[in-house]
Amino acid sequence: MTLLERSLVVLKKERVTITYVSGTNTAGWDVRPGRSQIEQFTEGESVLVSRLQDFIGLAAELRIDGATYKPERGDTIHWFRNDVTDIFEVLPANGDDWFEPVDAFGKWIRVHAKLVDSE
Amino acid sequence: MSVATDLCDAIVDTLNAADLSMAFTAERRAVPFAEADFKTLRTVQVYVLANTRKSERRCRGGDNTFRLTYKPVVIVQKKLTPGTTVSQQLAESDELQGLAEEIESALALVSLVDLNFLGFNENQDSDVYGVEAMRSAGVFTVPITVEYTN
Repeated sequence: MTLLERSLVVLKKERVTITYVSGTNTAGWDVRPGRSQIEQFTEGESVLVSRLQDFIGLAAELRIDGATYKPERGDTIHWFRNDVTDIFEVLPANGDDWFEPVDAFGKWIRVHAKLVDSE
Repeated sequence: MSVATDLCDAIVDTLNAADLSMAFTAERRAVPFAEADFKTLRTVQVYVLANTRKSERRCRGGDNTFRLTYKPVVIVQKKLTPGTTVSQQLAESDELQGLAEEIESALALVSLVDLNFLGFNENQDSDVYGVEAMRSAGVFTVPITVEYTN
């Protein structure tokens, strides 16, 4: 088993279930929360601070309306933790795309999102 | 209070009294930047910051006088609505751009706290709106620098 394959086994074991929302469609998706960091954008004298959160999951397991779904910018991810549902919007990270393959075959994907609300 | 502070408050009062296309409550900020989370930005935010001041010395007949130019900045920000289509987001950003221009019109040629309106950040090219914040965070941002002099 390669190092990458061993890493993916660990990822699979340590997943949480989030609710993925696209328009009016929702789906449960088992993901491993990944990188979390503060981002900053400066526009003139304005500094905007946002919290970036990545979610890593099996691409084939993200299914909406019975079909495999590719994340779209503006979708939302609802993650219930510590008695609060944090809502993340799927958005690019530091100029990257809003999702990218983790392995060479694109079996696993990393979705970039930003915290926009908590309920 | 200082002239810079009075000027910011006068801008806030002018904007809050103006009849503009979108509702907001402008406020003066003490910090040199506007730091906001996304939750706050679900509605239009308008901040006024003192920003910078330019001092020029003039000698006339052996007397030194100073011309002070104050350059407060008005920041217009809003998070574009998540889950909307490209054309819906374009319409929303168009509306916000319109508001930014209405704010400029509300401040243009208006004298405040005995200072004369001079212009909008003369000799400086600036983005019409912040492209990076729009692309990476879906946040519309326009900083408007206004110049007033004595």
